[in-house]
Amino acid sequence: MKLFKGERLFHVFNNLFLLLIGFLAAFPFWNILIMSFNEGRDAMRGSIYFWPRKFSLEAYAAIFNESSLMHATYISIMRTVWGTLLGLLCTAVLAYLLANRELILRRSMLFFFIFTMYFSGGLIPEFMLIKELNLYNSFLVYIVPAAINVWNVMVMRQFFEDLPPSLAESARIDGASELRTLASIILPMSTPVLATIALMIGVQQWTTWFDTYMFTSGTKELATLQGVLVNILMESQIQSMDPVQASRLEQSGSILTPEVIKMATITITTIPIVMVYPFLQKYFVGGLTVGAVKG
Amino acid sequence: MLKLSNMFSMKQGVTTGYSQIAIVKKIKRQKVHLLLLLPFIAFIIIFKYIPMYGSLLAFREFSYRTPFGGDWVGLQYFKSFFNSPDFGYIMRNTVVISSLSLVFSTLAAILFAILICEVRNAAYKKIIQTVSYLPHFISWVVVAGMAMTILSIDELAPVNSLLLHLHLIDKPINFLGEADHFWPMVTGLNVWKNIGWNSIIYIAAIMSIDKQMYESAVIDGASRYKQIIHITLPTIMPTIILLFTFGVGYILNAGLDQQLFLQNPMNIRSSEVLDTYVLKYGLQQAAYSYGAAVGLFKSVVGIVLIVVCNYVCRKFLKMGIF
Repeated sequence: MKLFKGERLFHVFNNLFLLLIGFLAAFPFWNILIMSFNEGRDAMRGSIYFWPRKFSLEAYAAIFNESSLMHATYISIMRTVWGTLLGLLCTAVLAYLLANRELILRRSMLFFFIFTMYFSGGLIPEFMLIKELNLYNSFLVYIVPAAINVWNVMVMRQFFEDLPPSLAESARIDGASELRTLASIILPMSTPVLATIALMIGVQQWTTWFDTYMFTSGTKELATLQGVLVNILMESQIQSMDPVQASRLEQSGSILTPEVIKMATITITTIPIVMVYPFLQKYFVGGLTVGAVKG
Repeated sequence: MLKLSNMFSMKQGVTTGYSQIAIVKKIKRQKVHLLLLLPFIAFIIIFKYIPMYGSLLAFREFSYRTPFGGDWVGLQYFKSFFNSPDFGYIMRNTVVISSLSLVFSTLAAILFAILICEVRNAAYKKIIQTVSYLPHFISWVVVAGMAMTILSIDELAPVNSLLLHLHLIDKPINFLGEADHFWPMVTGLNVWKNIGWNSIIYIAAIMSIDKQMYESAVIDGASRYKQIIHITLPTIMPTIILLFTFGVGYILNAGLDQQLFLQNPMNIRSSEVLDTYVLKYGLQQAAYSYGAAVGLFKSVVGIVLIVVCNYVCRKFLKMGIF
């Protein structure tokens, strides 16, 4: 198609504007990344924007030598792996069961689940419940209460309902059990929605700090990377407002500052996500919009 | 995420006209199915419905012997919340912060979606889109950590040094330490974090518009701008209104994390919202019944708003989420 002169101008400006948006989205990540590779005391002088001034791996060396941080990383990985596996399994089975149009009391059943999406008991009763169930200060508190997210179940149920019903039907006629039908017929056809939900659960598990804060007493054994980051953040905020602390740091002569440790920790928590999500992009974009176009 | 019209519609599968025998037969046939559902129902009862029952703690005195309170005290804790000097500014902050975020995030996502759909180079489009999703995947802890560095009052910090260089300001702005700057800052961060992700749904809606409409508009001599105003926007308007209305339904959820991590004694009058308030008074100061009352107030107002918004959407748009 031939472009008018005005059209061409529009495209140039449009592309430049979008480049600016892309830059704004990416710059903070880049800035934090290069700061984490800069020497700490030098970084305090400021004006480091696109490239480290004094390259240093001290911050990472300090983190990898700090056993509590390594343990927090381990806990974060464990909760993400187990949480995602358990969550995906529960979501898929429940979504499949609810996708059955013949289900007895289907409307009431759906209402029973969907109502919890819009009404919750609130923070305090949940806290009491976790204490009553003896989940307080246990690793299970990270994965069990999060095993079913009704919102995710409804997204997956919608996907299953849109699959041709004859497939499951023919499997049942051949004598396959419910779970067998799910595992061998439905799931292999559901990669987009499975990848989307797995990504959602995984990101949620990896990034949440709230359950560590609420449901553990702050013991080192259950600290997660995000929890450690919250502590570092709070501490650095207090320090930056406290002149005594700052001058003490000035005199100590250490090239490490809490600021670069913060940058390095942020980088470590962010990198796994940055490495994973672009590859799942085609799935989650499809998984999220399946209904929008038809609806 | 959004099966707009019939994701939660429960109109299918209504069983009518079955005799009792047929129902018994049906139960027998679905025996395995129902057995498999039982653990899930138990899970939801334990982790969702028991806390709902537990929110009655708002009407009771806290006691160490029973988890959800002892003696009934009626509306005492609600009254003390409504009459407290905190009530006014906390409600204001909650509503203002989430409204600003809703309005600007929606506008930004629509604009971004429209502009990205105009890009002709597929690779360029894909790269910009991928980068734009990035902020969605990180936690607010990380966002706050970044903000403290990038928006720092230091005149050599990225944003302030840029603004100084462009002579837009004379002295560095204290984004984090002044109450007046909290709302714009947190709105900006919300937009930054959500623009790419929220645009996914609008991009899908725009892509589904019939290309022939644009072609005939071009023949009629409509400019790019006219095409956007007269074709793109009207076609995606139902989607916009639906999502916006439901945003209104969640107006009391201003978000806990962003406020908590960006909060400090200097900006507390602008940054305290219902969620942070419950956390501070209810848990940290162990005023459990009081916290439960504030939480229950939020939940009840929330569900009323959602039902009203759904009704409005059903009535005027003929679509809703349930």
